[in-house]
Amino acid sequence: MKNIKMKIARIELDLSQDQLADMVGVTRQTINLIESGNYNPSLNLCIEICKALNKTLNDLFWKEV
Amino acid sequence: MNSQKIIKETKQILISTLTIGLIMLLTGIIFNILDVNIIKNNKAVIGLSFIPLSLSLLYYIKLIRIIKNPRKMKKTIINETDERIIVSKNKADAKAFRILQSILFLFYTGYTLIIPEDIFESVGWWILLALLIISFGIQSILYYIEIKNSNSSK
Repeated sequence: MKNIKMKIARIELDLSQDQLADMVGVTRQTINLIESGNYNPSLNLCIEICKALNKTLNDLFWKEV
Repeated sequence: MNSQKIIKETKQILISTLTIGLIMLLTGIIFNILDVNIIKNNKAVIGLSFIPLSLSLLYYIKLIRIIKNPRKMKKTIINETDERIIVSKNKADAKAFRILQSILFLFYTGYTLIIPEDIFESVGWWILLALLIISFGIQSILYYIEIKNSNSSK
């Protein structure tokens, strides 16, 4: 399932995928795969992404049932 | 991303390969000078020492590049530390190990069936058997060590 919340949060901060990838220490492809829902990041990576985007885990990675 | 960890790992590999290469090179040279023949030709040991020495040279160049230009090496470091890439590499390594284990098993089975007179007699047969048993056993041992490490870190 696509992670639209993460994409929106990234765009709100005017960050490219490459820039966000640089900030959290992964490749641009990994960020792309997370946003497109084709890769499940580890908890540590989720936390790093949340810190970079100034959001909480709930904001970006909670799935509404 | 942990560039310090990469630097530390690179240094460890550099030192170990350099040590092994130098030991092999010096052993071959000394045995050659003293005319001591533990193996048929001491030049083979000298020749083989170039493999670890070449590896140590590659890791030395990598270390220098990381220390001098950390920004330029950032992409390379990220490619080595990205969790998705590490998972893919581990999966590929596991599959490669399985394939090699199967090939080893086929070799052992074929050797045993085709040349039965070598069973228990030939050094090659014993080596094949030992490698096969080690390959089966080492998985269980490493799995046990991993579980123990992850339990102790909690």
